[in-house]
Amino acid sequence: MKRWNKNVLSAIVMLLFSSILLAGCWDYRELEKRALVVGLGIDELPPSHFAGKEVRMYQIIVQVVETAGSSSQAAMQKQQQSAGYTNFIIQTPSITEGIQQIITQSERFPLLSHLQLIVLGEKLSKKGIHELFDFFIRFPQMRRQTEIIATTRPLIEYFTVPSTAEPTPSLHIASIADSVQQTLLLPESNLGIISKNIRNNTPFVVLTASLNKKGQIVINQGTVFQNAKKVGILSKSDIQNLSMLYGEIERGLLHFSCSQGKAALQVLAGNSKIRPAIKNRKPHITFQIELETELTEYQCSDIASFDSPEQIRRMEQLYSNMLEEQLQRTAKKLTKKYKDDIFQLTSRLKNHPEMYEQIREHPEQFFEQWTVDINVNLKIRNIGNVLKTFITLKKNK
Amino acid sequence: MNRNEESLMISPTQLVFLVFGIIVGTGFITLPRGVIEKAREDAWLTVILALGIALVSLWLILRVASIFPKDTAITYNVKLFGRTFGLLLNLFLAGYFLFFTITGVRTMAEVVKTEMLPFTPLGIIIGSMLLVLLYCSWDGLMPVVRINESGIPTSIFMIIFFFSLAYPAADWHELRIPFLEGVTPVIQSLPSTSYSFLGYEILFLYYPFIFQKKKAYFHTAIGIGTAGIFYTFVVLGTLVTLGPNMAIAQTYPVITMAKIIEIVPRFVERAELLLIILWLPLAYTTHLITFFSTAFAFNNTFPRISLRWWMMLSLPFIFILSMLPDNLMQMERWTKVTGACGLFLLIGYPVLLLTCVFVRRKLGLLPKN
Repeated sequence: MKRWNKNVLSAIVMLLFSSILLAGCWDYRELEKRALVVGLGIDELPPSHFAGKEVRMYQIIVQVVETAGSSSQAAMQKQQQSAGYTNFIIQTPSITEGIQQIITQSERFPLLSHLQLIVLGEKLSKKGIHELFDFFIRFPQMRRQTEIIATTRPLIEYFTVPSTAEPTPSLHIASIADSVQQTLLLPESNLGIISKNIRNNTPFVVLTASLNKKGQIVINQGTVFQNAKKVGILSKSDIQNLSMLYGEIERGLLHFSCSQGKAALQVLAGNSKIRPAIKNRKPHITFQIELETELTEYQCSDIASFDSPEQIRRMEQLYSNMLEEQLQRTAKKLTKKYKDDIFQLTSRLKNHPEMYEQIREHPEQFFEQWTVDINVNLKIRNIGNVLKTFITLKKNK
Repeated sequence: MNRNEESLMISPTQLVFLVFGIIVGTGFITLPRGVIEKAREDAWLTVILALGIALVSLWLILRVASIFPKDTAITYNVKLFGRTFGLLLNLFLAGYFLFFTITGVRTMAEVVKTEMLPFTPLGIIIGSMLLVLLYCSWDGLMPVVRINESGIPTSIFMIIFFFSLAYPAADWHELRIPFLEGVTPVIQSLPSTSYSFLGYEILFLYYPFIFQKKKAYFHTAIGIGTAGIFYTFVVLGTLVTLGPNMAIAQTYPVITMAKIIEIVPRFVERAELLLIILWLPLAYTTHLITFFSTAFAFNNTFPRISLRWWMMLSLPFIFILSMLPDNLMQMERWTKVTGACGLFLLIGYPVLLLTCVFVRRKLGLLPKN
């Protein structure tokens, strides 16, 4: 056979062979045959008894987003009529078993790699979430950025909450949680952070969602977990103050009261450092907080105009002192209530072996003895477009 | 060495990438777990110390190789130890590369199956990888070298860029002043860390092909050093993003670290898949060199059977043996045994060779340079 004939023949064979490989997957599954799980709610049920042993039972709500992928007319119509999601409510002793039940209930294969939200029921939080986290950490499809929210009301209310912008409740709540963490000086509350705290056996705060009178989602509380069990609730100002002590300072608003009304400062950036020391054989921690802010609202009369640097410096000093007092109060209150490392100091004390050992081995003793100093250095970098306040205008009249 | 191979030469750049290509492979995905378990916050120091040890052993290997600049270890094993013991050492060397390939291919398949292709049988992943290995090594050493030279720079640049995306989520408080708990924990994890630097023992086979032999140490050291810096970067990243307690509890800590990365929220949600895509070329270059070295070592020991036949013969062995372990943990035991053999090749074997050279020269059985 001539050489070019051989080459042509081998090229044809290669093309035929590659067409088999490039034609697509042999085990593909259409999108509508997959159950894309976007939200998972878990709460505690009364225990059941199996072989003489008590077994924890859970109520699991699996929210599956409905996809428009079928070409048939009937399926399209059904899709348009539906709410855009389906809730599967399952009673089960394990999460895996619960999720598997979706197959029998919906003929679809569950996919958890797009899970956006895990909602923890109140009863479950009180009894402990330790066992559940094994699944979340072990399962390879799980993302560490999945938001985790604690609740105060029955789970189903959260999984049916309406929203104008986002038809799927789980995605709606996950978006709110993400936004408040980035804009309201609240600490991160996702699977990565929480699983790390459970592994380190340190207390942590999970953002808590409640429903207002209009049935809208509001995230303005935090649930404190100690040994992976709920031990208390924090107010919005407490978690904001904690966030500042942690050093998790992103954009957020600071409000200060005065006799006439309120002043608001927008946080631009910030950090918190600690200076540990032993004073009188007791641990002493100084928090050094640096804040860069801009003035967004001023209803007060303490300072009439901002046309000299001294006035701004006076204001910086005033709000630094107010913030110091506020943080000091929160630190005292939380120390008295929890006597544990709710301030996330353990990893920050690694370079001080004596204190590190004490906080790890005997946290209660550490927090009974510790004294706190808080230094805030608040800087106002921008005062906006107004130099003279409205109070001065009134006086001039 | 056959006539074709005599005309081949590995340039300094090719040597750097060849050494880096074989060192950085499957091991770094699990490396932080082993190091952090004992050395805790000082794990990155252990990596640097292991790099130092690797550079010392490299000097030993090149010292031996420079005594026989035109021979591979297969030839001088017989010259120094006699026919029987030399043959046994040659079989050990070939067997070591065989098992290096087996453990590497299986570990790679386990990661791909767990994180990327959960429904694909292990045999399909391993089989397809072996076929691509055979295809590239079919025409001898130079395609293998050139694949490393062309593929490694892009892969490593992209993978470093990718890992950098995890660093903004770092909690630098997880680090500590070095040696706060003494030197012992750092030294305890040295042997297992040294396994990660295995690979440059290929110089026993390819030293005769190196173009600038006088600068071989310098060029190989650049390859090993770059791998060491890369390992330090990865171990440090795992420490500051996951923390020591989390890192030691993960099967693949580096992949868990990648799960932190969110490139565009809700757009690229599983960044670890990107990591695996970027990591596969690095794993591939390691398998390629060890697979070729297996056939090369067998071919030099038994030259009657051609290099291509040795490749064809070793392929089913690698496939069957890599399928034998029941699970990853059993495979890790195999990897540890292979690693121990590798440590012998890095330190014990060159010392043994140097001693033998010294004795033979004293007895006048070997001419002095």
